[in-house]
Amino acid sequence: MVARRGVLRRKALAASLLALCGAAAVVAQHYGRKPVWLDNPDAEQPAEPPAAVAAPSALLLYDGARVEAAAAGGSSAQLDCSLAWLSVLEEEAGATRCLDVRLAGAADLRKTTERGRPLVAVVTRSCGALAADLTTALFQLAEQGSLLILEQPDDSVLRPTRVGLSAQAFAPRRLTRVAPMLPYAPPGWADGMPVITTCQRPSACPPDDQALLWLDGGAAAWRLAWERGAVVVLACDLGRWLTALWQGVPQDDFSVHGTHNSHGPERGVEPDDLVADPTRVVAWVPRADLLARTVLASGFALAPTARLSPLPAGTAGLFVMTHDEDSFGDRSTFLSDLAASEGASSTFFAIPDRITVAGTSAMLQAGCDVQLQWNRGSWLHQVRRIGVGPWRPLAKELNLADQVQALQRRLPAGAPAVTMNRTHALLWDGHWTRTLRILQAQHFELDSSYGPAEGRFGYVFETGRPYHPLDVTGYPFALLELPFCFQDDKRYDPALQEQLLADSEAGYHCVLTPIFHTATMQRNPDAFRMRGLLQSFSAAAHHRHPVMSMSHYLAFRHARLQGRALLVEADAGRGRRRFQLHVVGEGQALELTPSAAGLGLLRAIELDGGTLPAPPAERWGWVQIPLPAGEHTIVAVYGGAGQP
Amino acid sequence: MIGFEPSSRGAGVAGPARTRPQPAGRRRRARARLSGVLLVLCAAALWCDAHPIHLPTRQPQGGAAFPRRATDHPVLLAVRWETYKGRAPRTPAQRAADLEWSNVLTQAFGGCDVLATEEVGRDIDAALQNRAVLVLPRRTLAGLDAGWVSALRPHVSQGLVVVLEAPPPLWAKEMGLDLQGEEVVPELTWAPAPRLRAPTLDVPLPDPPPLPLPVRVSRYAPAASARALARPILDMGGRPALWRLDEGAGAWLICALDVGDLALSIRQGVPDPGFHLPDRYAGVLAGPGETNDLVATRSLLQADAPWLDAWIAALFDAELAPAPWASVWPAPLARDGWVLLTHDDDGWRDTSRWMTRAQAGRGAPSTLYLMAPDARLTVEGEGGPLADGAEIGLQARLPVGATWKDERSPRRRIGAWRFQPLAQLPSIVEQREGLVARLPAGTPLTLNRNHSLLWPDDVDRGWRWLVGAGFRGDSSYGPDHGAAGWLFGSAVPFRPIDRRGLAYPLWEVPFLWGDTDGGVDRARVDRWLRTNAVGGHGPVALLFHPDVFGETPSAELFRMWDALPELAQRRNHQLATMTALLDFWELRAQAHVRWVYGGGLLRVHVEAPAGAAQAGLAVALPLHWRRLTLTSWEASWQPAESRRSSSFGRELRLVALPQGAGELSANYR
Repeated sequence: MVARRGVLRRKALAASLLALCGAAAVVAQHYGRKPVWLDNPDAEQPAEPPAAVAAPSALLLYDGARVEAAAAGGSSAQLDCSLAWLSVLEEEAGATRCLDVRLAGAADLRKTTERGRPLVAVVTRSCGALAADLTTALFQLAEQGSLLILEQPDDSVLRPTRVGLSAQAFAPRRLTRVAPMLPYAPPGWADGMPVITTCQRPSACPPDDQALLWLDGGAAAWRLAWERGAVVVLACDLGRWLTALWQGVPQDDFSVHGTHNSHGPERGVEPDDLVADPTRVVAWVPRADLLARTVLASGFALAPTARLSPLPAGTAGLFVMTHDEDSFGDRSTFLSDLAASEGASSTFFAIPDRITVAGTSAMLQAGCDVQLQWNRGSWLHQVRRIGVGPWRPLAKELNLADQVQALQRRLPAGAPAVTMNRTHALLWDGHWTRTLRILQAQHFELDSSYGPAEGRFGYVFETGRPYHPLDVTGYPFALLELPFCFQDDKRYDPALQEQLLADSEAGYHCVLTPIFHTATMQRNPDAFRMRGLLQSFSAAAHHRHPVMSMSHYLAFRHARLQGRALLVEADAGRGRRRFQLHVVGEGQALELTPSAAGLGLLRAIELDGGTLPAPPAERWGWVQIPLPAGEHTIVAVYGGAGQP
Repeated sequence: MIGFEPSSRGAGVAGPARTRPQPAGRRRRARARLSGVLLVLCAAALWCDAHPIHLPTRQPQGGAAFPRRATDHPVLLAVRWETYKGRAPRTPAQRAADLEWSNVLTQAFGGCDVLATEEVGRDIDAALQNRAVLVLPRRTLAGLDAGWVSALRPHVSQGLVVVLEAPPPLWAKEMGLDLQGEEVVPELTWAPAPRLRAPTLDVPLPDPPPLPLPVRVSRYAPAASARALARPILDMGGRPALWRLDEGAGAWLICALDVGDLALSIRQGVPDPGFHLPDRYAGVLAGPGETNDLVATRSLLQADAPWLDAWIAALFDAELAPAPWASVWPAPLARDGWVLLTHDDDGWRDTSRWMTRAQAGRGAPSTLYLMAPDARLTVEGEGGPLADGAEIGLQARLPVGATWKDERSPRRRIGAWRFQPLAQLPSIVEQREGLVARLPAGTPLTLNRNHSLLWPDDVDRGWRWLVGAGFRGDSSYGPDHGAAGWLFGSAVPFRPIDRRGLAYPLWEVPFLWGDTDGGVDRARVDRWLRTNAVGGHGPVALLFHPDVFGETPSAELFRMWDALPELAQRRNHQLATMTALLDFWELRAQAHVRWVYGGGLLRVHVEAPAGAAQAGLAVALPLHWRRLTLTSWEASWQPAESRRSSSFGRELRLVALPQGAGELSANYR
């Protein structure tokens, strides 16, 4: 009996062990197929006050306390967007210094301007009441030839202009009229433009011929000649308006709902879900750019200026060629070969999975960029399985830092750092700026995920230039957002591309950023797509848009912002102005206002002591002269025959 | 395995199990063996499921035949039927190439009748009535007695031209020649004199490469006692290749070269002994088992000129002929050649459509070969390739080569429930029927190209399968793995000849280049078209894979493909489908152009089949003959559209054929 019990015990034990092994195998198989997901959060870094710039070409005054207080409300409607002006000024004037009026006074202003006066100074709505001496110093800038822009200023600031604004702000619904300050802007370009701003009714204002914008039938901006310079008064919140157009419109709590993207709300959102005007399918006009340029051009017409061109000398725009690699791997190199054969360069946004060092080396050797196509949260996301041998029951999605590292491992030694991104499938976070915060935390310099998704084409974010997106803190990110203008596998037609280039050459002067997917001929093959890609090089050259990579463009832009243009002297009659320019890098150009109101056309230019005949103005409203690197003195003499 | 002790349960006899170890041990071992066997069986079953055993496919068996054709065509090929009654030869060198002359004559004149000498001999006068040219090939001549010469002589005197291929001594003697011997020249120098050039245009025909191809040459010398002496008129490699003996209004043309064998070796390739597919270019061409392994010599792997076309043009050159010969132009009147844009779908799903759509948009029809029966391309409907004007052919998968057992191959699995350890590739007939079922009712499916250009090891078997499946045309002959150009010396449609020398009722149209291996750019294709436009005027068929454009995209390849319609237009080539070409080729063969020359006047009697005018059939007359020039011509039909062209440096006057019969008079001064 004892022996039999022992046998039975052994059998029971063996059976239990077998059952246990079986169960373990089933469990293992289950988790092998459906792993336990580990959290792998991304680090975030909120935007902070902008760094100071020495000897800037433009000044931006804001009140950090008010900006932060507005942001503390956690409401997009209350967010103070004053610092959106930074992007406008960088593009239209050059290096810009942001002065927090809490920390800086008239003395700081004088110190900043002692080597020369900025071309533009903007007093944003956040400033409220300024110290009297600061107000005086600002108006002195205008008296001496600069352009001073006052955005919804406090009465105390506004007093010298004799313009009065009521304290009560309203939300206008329609942009009724825009003064024709831009010769290239098509008639009716602003019709139907979303008006996302607040406006104050004027209690006292100059005559209508000095007005620039009319909202809901009433004037909302004026330009005033101010001795040798000019003052522009804005009764509307232009910073908010531009931010909404550039960066889209989130919900009040900054959340983003996937309302019309191609993935459907359950898949996540795209920047396209944020567009301010979702009814516009083909966006031909970069209306935010034209709106900002109208304000600045109106002032420069009274206070003629000289700036470093936002685009390389001799160009009418840029065609920043980008390719989404979409896990197509080393086969993508046919596009870097193509770019090299065309004497151009391009930027590849690569998912770090199939591409190899050989592929990235070939791309880099062809002069192209290899940057990150962040594959996040989508159904094709990057995953790391954790376990033993083939049994890996745990999984975690690679976060941005992991993916940057993964891409770096696929780059040859000495390759440029990974600092640019486009999110795969354009997936965006459900929060307005969280994606940008994550990118900022990994020191990205540029993102290009904003742009038209399924069915749309063109400037859906109303701009053809890069900008610093605003965080929910109200501060701008250091990184740039450069919206793309079309994708070759969505609504695309070479004729549309041609039209975009022609319009940009004629006046919009944009940094056109197309997406040509490397796998288009595999996934959405059609001859016109490939034909369009091949034609784009010649079409871009025909319209004076050099085809280049993002890094080449950023290098140019960075050099330009290292330089400066300062107004040194404007004579009392306003007919003669002297500028001091510091030019960094190759390919830079000086741009001069071709005429001054009441003075006539630009008659002559003295460059470093020598006299040049004034070249004809480009169609987009500037006279351009290429300049080599170094210090230059420019004297612009106005008073030429003919009417501006 | 967990065992137990049956002895402790069965009889209820208590006791330690170890006291009776034998039965339990046996059972345990038996169970273990059973388990082992079951385990092995399970493993085998699983393995077979993943790697099924392939059953052989029963393919259709078509056959070659004697292509008798009696349509009163002015060109007659007379072949001795007895030649084909013996056993099939074992080596390619032994195959009878007499019927290859039908391909040569079709290429040169537009068509020919083919009759057995036994049939001709019954009533020579009737058989030769209305003939302008009679060809008697080597093996046929070997079986004919010299009495034929006297029977033929009256017809020659009245204007008949008799072409004798390597005539035996008795025949040669009648021509005033002594056969001094036969030799196999190891290398054909390919330098015919007078040399073929295109001096009036910008395409000098480059000197042909030496072809290390054994050629049988008969050496003749003028017989000292001969009354009428044949004169050498074409020289090759310093030796006479063609002799002419004028007699009355006609002439005898004596070929010292074995033209049929030579043409067959180049056009159809040279199999290994036993008619096996060779692996001749291992190390040069990857991927054995393909049609380009048959290419006659290595120097043809990069052939930028159609050397066989050039040679045939030399043979029938108007300057050498006893009269200004008329022929039917191998392209529509207004065109100097053909461009066929063909595509292999390779099972690349509906996205293949983009290519046919894009070509349709540029006026270039497509011939699209689809895999079956699992073709993943929807052919019907608005966006389908049929709506783009494309025609559909089968991309047949043959049970040959290294990859046909792959997962991707459309195998029929055989087994029970989910256990299917056997597999079988559908036969070509099943593949064809499977694809036909996918096409709208009434859509013809008569064309084929073998997937991966694979060909069975037994070379004849490939033709037999295709003929058995009922195909009208095939285009599996062509380059792969870096080869390009006229690998088979010519690209005009031809009837394949089997090992016995009989012809398959199928058109083979070799293509010049496939996009899988690169190596050809737009400039090279342009060079081909320019060469073709002043050369053979045949089809330049190109193969493009939609999946190559998608999976391994190349800007240069796309540019080249995209430029082809414009390039074809510029080089005056007709963009057409394979069917359109074959329709034209068969219509051309039905057109009869009969000529009589005398006193500077060439009288041409034309009988054109229905549809000839619409198809653009034209008669070609030499602008120069000997020292005379075509000064004027008059046609009995109106309008008689006309233009000039040239072929291998010889200028031609092309005149559109009428609907039905007509007379054309041409004056040579």
